[in-house]
Amino acid sequence: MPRSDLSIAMVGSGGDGVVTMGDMIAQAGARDGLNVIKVEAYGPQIRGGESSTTVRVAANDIYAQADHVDILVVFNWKDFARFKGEITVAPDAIILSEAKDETEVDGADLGAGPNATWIKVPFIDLAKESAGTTLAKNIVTLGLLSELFNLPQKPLKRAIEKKFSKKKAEVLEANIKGFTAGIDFAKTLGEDVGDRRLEYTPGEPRLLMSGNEAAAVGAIHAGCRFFAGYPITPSSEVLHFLSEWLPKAGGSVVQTEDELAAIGAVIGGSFAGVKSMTATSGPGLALMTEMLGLAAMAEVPAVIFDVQRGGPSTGLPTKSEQSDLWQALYGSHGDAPRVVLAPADVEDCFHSTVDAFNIAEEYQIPVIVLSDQNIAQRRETLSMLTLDHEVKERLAPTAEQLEDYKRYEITPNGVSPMTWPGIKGGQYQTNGLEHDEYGRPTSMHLVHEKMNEKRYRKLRPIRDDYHFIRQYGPDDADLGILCWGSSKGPVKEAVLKANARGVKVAAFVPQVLYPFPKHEFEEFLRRIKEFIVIELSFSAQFYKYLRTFLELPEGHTHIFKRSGGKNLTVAEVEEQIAAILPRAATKREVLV
Amino acid sequence: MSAPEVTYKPGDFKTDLKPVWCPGCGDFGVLNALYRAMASLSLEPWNTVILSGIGCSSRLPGYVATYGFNSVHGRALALATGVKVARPDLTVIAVGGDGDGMAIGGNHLMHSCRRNLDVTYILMDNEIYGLTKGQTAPTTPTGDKTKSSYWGNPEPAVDPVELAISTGATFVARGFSGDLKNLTAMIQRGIEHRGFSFINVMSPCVTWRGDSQYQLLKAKLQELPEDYDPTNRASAVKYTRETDVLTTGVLYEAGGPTIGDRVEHIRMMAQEGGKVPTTREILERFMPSM
Repeated sequence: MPRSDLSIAMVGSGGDGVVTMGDMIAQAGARDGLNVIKVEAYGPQIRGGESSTTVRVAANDIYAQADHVDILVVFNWKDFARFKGEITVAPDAIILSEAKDETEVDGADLGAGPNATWIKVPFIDLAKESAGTTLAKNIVTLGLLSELFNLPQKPLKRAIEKKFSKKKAEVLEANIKGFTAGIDFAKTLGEDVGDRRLEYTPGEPRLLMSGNEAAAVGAIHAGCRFFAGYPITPSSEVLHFLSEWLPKAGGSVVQTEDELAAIGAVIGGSFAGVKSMTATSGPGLALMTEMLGLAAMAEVPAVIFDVQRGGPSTGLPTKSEQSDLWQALYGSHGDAPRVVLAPADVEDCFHSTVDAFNIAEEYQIPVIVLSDQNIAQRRETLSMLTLDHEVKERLAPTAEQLEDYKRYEITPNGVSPMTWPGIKGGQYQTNGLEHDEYGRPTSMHLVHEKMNEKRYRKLRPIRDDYHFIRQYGPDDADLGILCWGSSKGPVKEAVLKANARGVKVAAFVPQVLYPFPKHEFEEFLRRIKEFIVIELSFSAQFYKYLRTFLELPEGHTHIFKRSGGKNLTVAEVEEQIAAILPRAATKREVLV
Repeated sequence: MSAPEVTYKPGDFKTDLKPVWCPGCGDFGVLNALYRAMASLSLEPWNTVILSGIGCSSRLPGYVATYGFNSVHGRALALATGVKVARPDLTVIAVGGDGDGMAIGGNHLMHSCRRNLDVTYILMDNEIYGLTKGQTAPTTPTGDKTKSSYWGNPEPAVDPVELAISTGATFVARGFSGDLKNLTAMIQRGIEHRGFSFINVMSPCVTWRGDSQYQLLKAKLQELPEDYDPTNRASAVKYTRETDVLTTGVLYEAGGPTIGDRVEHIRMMAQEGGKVPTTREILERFMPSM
């Protein structure tokens, strides 16, 4: 039976063009309206070395990369060995490898079962014969894959034409010959792989973008016109995109000397009345924490987009983890209120960034957006994003208020009118020192107490107005799962699969981590029998954070946590569901 | 530029805050010179921003009735970079001490000079940490005994002026807080200069360096010769190397584009006639193009 969902991994060395292959398949899928999620992985080399790309194309909805690939293309088994444990194949996978590579491979090492199909393909010879160069190996492979598995052939051919359109006519012609040779070779293969053909009806083209790109577009949409940042993996794409597009939107970008300067410049730009943002990863966020406190104290709107990677220290720069949570929640000395948002997929990166600006501007508070490498760097298809996302502006004083302007006036919701340079009569002198309503420095205990109370009061309306929560599954579930960020993808997939089998599992995914949507979550807890927290943090940062302000059901609370470095899989979630469900036979007597 | 409508007196720039400085502190002289320079330039207070880091001298923004920001230690220029690049229409002044600007914030000076950030940076140099009560600074002379160098400072001092010239500042001057007239003129020229203007003001600390520092500085200070050519970088560097005298005046002045000019140029290139793309147009870029 044909498939509606297919995952293909391609592995090779630099120069084999596997990244281009992944791009082209993803582009072609997006062109034909398919759902696509594409991830890339590299060795530590700056250039060359092993690389892999995995593309999932599907006619149905998908929420994460697949646990196992259905089709594996290996140009060189030595390169594949470098991804051991990271790319596993389905037991019945089809494995296409270079005929000249005679390495003995143990299928069990890859996850392949006895019914896997092993096909040797003379990629090198086919490329040489058809296109006259081994460089066309990837194009030959695209032809072969499109014919064997019904990948969008016409869009692929157009993608090749576009790629080589600027080169000499012979180059384009050679590559088209390579593509055709791949198709022809596929027709000669004796193996029956018809049950792995993708079945779909072509639809309208879809957007194909990464989380970092979505965040950058979200920033421009929200009105960001100043960006200061320092390059760091895996967040640099935000800087890259904005360096091109922010000037087009009338804004400016500074690549600063370090992260201290980046957050300093953002606070400066925002103080000057221009919506400002920086993007970084864990090590950079660590450097920014002192000035996170400054933004909280001086009540300057600031958006910090943090793309988490494995830590501590340099850690795993190219891999995902959910371990910047405590740093985002608690980093900085003193009692420094901030807001922490957590996008859960690529589209969220757009919306969370707009929300971050809205919250920062409306409440004059620093907002950290905690993305992670998984959603930041993968490319996935989206429908044209909801563009009517409201954009909010900061509260300016009235003419009457300017008569005796109190920058830090105590108000019921904690928000004081804020001027910016250029507003005559609105001058004030602010500081990181504790200050009175006019901004004048003080070290009086009573003023400090009042001002702390004012600054923290802003969190209440934020909690009430910005509670983005995703919930999946039935209301009266036997098991409720709580997760955040990119873990949403595999959790959602596992929950929906379980629900389809009649298993009563639900999930709760908050997109505001601080202030936490306590009431909604407690309501969720009341409706479930067993409860589990799932996260990619060795020390269980999320679980422990919840414990600081919530009573979790004793004897019914479970946790699945591990280090990052490998994305959460659907199978891991399913194992947890299977293990905990039998315990939900009786309803808890005492609820929250 | 049209003539300003209002004229200002130095006192117009005062806030109602009383400086926390010790009686006799050199920073009073700098503050007064700044008030006067701002008045003679008729700077509109609402279009002027003064930023600082942390230290005795970094309290200065609180005493000037412009927009002001006393930020965190060492980051005056980091904030000033954001203010000036985001709002090139504003007059931006950064102030601070030698510990703030030469130690913890030293890196930002180099890059502000290199970028030719159109900001005036006034470094009040007392060769000591005052606010934390008398520790060695990067500008403290070798051998001097301080609270943190009981046996005498084992390190050579940095010359902020030489550093600024070598890293690309386009206006570099050295002044003295006890010479109000010349300091006022110098600050005025610095603010008028297009590009990064760095003014190192020797500003004695009566509390931690005693009267001797003031006397020593007074004896060492020497004005530039009248026929001095500030556009000659080599001679500017020569004066910074002299150790028995401290030359005051504008040592170096040059032209050249500022970071603001370059950013504006980029914006013009990017905008192709001032057309700002909508979010939908930006997203079109992510549609498969084939």
